[in-house]
Amino acid sequence: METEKNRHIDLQVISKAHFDNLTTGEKIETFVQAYRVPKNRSKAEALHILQSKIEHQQVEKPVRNLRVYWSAVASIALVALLTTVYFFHSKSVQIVAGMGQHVEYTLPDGSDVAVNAGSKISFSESEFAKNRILKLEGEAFFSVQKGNPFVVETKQGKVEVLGTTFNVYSRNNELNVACLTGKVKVTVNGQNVIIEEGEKAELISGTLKKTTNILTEKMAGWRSGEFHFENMPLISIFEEIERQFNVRITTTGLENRYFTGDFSNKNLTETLETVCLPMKLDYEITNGNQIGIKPKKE
Amino acid sequence: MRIESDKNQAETGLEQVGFEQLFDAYYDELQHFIFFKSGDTEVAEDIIQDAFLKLWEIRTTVRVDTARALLYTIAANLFSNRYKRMKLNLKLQLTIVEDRTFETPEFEMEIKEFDQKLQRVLSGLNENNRTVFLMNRIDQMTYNEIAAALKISVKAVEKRMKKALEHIRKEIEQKF
Repeated sequence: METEKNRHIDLQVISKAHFDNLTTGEKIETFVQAYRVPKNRSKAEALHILQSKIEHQQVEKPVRNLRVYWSAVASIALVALLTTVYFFHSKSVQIVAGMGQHVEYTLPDGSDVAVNAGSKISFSESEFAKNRILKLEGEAFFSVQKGNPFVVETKQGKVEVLGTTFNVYSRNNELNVACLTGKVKVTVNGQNVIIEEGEKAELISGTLKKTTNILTEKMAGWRSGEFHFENMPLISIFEEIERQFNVRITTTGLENRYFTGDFSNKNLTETLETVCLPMKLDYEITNGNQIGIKPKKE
Repeated sequence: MRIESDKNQAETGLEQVGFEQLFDAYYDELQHFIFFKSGDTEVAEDIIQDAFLKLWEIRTTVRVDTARALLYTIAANLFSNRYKRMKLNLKLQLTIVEDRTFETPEFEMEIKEFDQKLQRVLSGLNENNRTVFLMNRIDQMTYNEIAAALKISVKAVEKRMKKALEHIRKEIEQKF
C-alpha cells in the first residue's frame, strides 16, 4: 500500500492526455501530494505568541503571591487603598491600577506615566536603566523625557519614541496609539507606522492604519476623568465602565454595535444614561454593582 | 525535522534540550494533525498553542523521548473536550500556482472539479481514518511514526490507511 504514494505526477506540468491515462488511485495520489495545510500565522509568529504567553504566566504568579502577602498585612495594619505596587522580587517593578483607580507614577528616567483603571505596567529596574523598555497591558498615558529610545511593548505590537507625550490603548485585540507631541513609531507584526502630533495609529483587523486630525486631548482625557470614544465597539465601552466604576456588567445583543461619544467617571447612573439613551438600551442595577444591559423593546 | 534522543537526553528534563527546539520540530505536524481532524486553521492553531503551553507547565516531569506522543495526546484531548463533532468542510490548498496555463479551459475545469470532489470525499471520511491518511500522505510520516505519535499499533495504522483509501477510491469512482 505504501509504495503507491510514490506514483504521483506533478500537477504543475501534467498534460490532459497524461492525466486522462491515470488510474483513479493515481489521480487521488497526485492531488493529495499537491495539498498543503492553510495557515493563518507562520511558525515564527506562533512561537512568539507562545513565548509571550509563557512570560505572562511567570509575571502573574508572583503577583498572586504578593496579594496573599498583602492581605495578611492588611488584616493587621488595616492598610487600605494601595494603588501602586512596587515589586522588588527579581528587581521587576509593576505598577498596577485596580478597578476604579488611576495611578500616576514617575519612571526612573524621569518620564511620567498615568495608568488607567484595570491596567498594568511592568519593567525590570536594572534593564530599564540600560534600555528604556516596558510592558503595558491596558491603557496608559506617557510623557517621555528626551533621551534613548523609549519602547512600550503591548500584546499586539510595540510603540517606540524618543521624547514625546502619547497615549496607548491595548485591550482585547485592539491597539490604539495617539500622539500628542513629538513623534511615535508603532510596529505590529513587521508593519510600521510613524505618527506625529494630532495623529493616531490603529490596528484594524490586522492592519495598522494612520488617522490624522484627531482630538488627541480627548483621547487622553481619561486622566482627568473624561472619556471620549470614537466608533468603538459598544462591548468595549461597557468594559471601560466596568473598570472605571468597579462594577460587573452583563450585556446581551450588543454585537457589531459601535458608539461615539463622551462620559465622565464621576457618576455611574449618569454615565449609563449617556451611553444607553442614544443607543436605545435598557439598564438595570442590582446589588449595587451588578448591571444588566439589553436593547430596549420596540 | 526529528529530534533524536539518545539515552542520556531521554533521562533529562525538557529544558536542557530546549523547548524551542521541540516547538520547531513538531509545531507544523501537530497543527496539521488538528487541522485534519477539524478542517479549521484557527482551531488548529489555538489548540496547538495551548498544547505547548501545557507541556511547558509540566516540562520538569516530561522526558524528551516521550514529548512528541504526549503533545499528540494533549492536542487530541483538548480538541475532543472543546469541540463537538461537526460536519466539516476541509479546505486544503492545492499548490498549483494560479498562472499555470492549461491546454483548454475544459481541462482546467476538470482539474478544479476533481479537487473539489476529492476534498468533499476527504471531509466525509471517518475522522481517525482521514487523520492517519493525511499524516502519511501530506506530512510523509511513516506508519511507525504515526503509531508512536497516536499510541496505537502499526497494525491499526495499516487498517485505517486501508479503510481510508478504499473509501476514497470508491466514492471518487462513483462520482465520475
